[in-house]
Amino acid sequence: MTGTVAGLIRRPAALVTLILLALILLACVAAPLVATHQPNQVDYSASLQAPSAAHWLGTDQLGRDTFSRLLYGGRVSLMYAAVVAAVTLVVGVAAGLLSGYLGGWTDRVIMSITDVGLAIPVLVVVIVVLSVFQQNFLAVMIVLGLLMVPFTVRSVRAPVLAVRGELFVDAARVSGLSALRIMVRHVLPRVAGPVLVQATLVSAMALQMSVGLAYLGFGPKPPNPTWGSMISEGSQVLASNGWLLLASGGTVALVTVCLGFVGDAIRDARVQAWTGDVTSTARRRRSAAPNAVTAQLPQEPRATADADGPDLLVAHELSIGFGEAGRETPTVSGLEFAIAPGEAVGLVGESGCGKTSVAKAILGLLPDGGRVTGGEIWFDNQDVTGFSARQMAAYRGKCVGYVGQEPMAALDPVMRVGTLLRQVVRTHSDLTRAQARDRVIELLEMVHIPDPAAVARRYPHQLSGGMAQRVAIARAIAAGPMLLIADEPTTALDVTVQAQILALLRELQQRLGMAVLLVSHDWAVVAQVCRRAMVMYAGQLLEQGEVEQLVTAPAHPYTRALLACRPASATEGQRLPAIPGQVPAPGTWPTGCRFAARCEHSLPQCTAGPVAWESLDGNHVSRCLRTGELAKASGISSTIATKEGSDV
Amino acid sequence: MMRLVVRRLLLAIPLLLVVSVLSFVLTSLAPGNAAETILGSSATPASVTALERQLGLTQPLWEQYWNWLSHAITGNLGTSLTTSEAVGSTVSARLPVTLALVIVGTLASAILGVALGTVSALREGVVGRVIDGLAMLGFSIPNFWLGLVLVDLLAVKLHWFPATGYVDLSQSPSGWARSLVLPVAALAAVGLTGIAKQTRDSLREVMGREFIMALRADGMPERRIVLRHGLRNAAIPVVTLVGVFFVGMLGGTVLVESVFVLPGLGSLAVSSAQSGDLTTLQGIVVVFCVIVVLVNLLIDLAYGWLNPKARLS
Repeated sequence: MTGTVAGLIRRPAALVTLILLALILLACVAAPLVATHQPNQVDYSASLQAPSAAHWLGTDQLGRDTFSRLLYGGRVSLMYAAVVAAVTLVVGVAAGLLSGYLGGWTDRVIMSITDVGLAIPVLVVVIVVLSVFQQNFLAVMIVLGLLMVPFTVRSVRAPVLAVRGELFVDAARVSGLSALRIMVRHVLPRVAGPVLVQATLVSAMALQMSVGLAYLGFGPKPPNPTWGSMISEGSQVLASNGWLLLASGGTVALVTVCLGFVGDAIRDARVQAWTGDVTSTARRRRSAAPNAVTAQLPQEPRATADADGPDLLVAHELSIGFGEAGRETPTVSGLEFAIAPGEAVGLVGESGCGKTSVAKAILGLLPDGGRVTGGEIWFDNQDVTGFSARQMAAYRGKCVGYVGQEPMAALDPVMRVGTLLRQVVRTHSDLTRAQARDRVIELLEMVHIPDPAAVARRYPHQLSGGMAQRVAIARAIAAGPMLLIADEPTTALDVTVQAQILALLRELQQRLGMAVLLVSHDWAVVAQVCRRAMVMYAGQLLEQGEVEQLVTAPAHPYTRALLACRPASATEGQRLPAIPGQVPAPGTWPTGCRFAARCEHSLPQCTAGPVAWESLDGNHVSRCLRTGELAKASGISSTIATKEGSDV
Repeated sequence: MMRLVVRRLLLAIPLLLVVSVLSFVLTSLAPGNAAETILGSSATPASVTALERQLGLTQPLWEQYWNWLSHAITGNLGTSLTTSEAVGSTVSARLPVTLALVIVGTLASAILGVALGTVSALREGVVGRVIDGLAMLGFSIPNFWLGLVLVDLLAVKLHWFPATGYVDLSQSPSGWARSLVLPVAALAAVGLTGIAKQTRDSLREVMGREFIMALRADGMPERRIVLRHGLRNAAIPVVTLVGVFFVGMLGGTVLVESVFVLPGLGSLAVSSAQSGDLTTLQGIVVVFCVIVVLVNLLIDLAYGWLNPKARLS
């Protein structure tokens, strides 16, 4: 709430409109003091004048001063609008709170009434009321307010529903506070933003309607001015003087625009209040960290499992950054790796290490603001980073398939699973509709979905998580890619389903001879599918080698720490080990070893300069100054490679 | 899907009953009654009483309502208090004008609004800001005022369109279209800009979702992703909004038909209110409600067609 107000004041445009609105309101309220003329003072000698020093906005047919009449008319029009808005907001907010917070029958009754209310053409009913209550405009405005309640109920109920699900409301309920108190003291302040937005909207609509009614002649009797009756008068003299119509209609539009601006600003300010902290600290970080990290990278050896034959995918000096072009915050720097055809490789590390950036960069799908800032990605001897949009579309799906973390979120909610798969098949082949349909069934069979024809007719929300992930895998292999990228493919799934999905990935990898890049934080997952793994930390690779070497004889202290954190390697009755500290945020990487600050073996020289790769046996390499020394003293052992699968 | 339609139609019955009861009770609250309106202020108390008995005004209110309702179901909406014509025939003679206005207005605002919103969602910067500005203007300018300005500029000064009046479709299709342009523009401005804004926000939100990324990873052409997947998902909230604007436009005819002197139900409502013709007003309210119910049904069908979750649960 205070954040909303502060956010509003920080926006110059919103502040200006707010001040303008306040000035108009004040001028109307203080009309007797501000007006230059009496509102009904007739002067036939000054009929229909253009604006002048004597009459700032000109005069009407009877020579009355338009500016003064607008001020006096505004008192009536704005007062009516205020009555409508007040009635709507009080009733609407109360009903919305009750409906959203209490739910159940209260909700059903209120929403039924709301639905009925939304089906009523407001102005027509108001005219009926007008003809019944004759000149009692206050009563009519109250009815108008009531008729507009349904809109408010809807826009208050939705945020209340969201807030109701939050923990602090549960806490308040458990602590025995009454429902009324929770609603007024805890829920209402949290939905203050939407209520304020709604207030500006309702006020604007109320003003327009009361002006419209007055235009039709339903309002105070002449000669007393209202904005609506002035528009009507202006339209009658339009041919000889357009000023009256312009001034009266323009005033209504101006007030409404101001209300709209304030409403938009409140909405934007709320959005910023939620995300403001994040962006401002990110900005601070960016300015504090010099961007020299990428400049002094050590030379990396080409580490591949199979030296014979050309590599399928090669990342060379790959750097990725986010933010303004030229001033990006690096998330990945100078990455060097290769994947051979048919090889399954794991990319392991904590969250925030840049693993997903690497996966997305290979697909050319970095999110907004992200780009490859240096190096190349070679796929089958073509540089992916130089692809045109057309080449990229032909490459995605056909050359590289992708399976994401959230199987349900990856499916178009309004499209049948079979239609989606058929679309992928047909995009990359010239199969006929019928052939593509058969191919879809075949794909669904390949991922072991029972009754594929029935599943193909389903919508995503009719699938279980595991089923959806099988569909996602079928989709990824639909065009027969040579490389499958799976980014945390089992994280969102049940433990029992996880093992099945991993087994499926492994089976398909072997059966189709497809290379797999498996991104995961979980060694057990990597061990089930991959023969080789790369350990990533703070945008850099720290260790590479066979999975078996890595888990039985990890060389880098970070790899050891990661392995020690696995629940399977914990001792019963003892605290689960965790690596102290956090992954340094992108852009705050230290010179030298990026893990040094959290490493129990760190020496002063670790942070002195870039650390080079140290070779162990075979393709096993580690980026640690003390590699040899620690390898000798290594006591860590893990059961993962031998017990694979059983502890998943 | 069939069940949804039936349920909606069943829900419409209580809605119509509630509205008709409300308008009936409301009109019976009016100071002075129908007999006085018909006979005028010079009537003797005796003649008023006689007419009251003849009109059934001496019966209890619920009986009056029942009489009115049983006639209304057969299409007989009573007799006008001021012109003594059948309300049913007056209303049905004027209905086509209002329907033409709101249907053309809704289609125009939906089609142009979605097109404009889509363009601004996909283009960063200027186009988006222009549409924001237009949306703000469309929302702020009163429709009848816009109508007055349009008449002055495009009809009186430039003679592009007729200033007022309505040409029947059967008389001259081109004349009909020309007579509708300005009133529809005045009526649809709010809806058009509102729908454009909603389409843009909604499409932006959808294009940022995970499944759009997944479609790109499939190698799907971007155009196809926007048109087949983005817009279709973005249309779900837009469809609801089209329904809301339709109801708003129906109410807006009261003002716009008065500005353009169109012989529709909106202007009839105004003149009936001014002359105290409550029977006609009641008839108009009921007809408007029936229209809204039917349109809401169409909106629900469109919603169900677009959103399988709504259709299948």
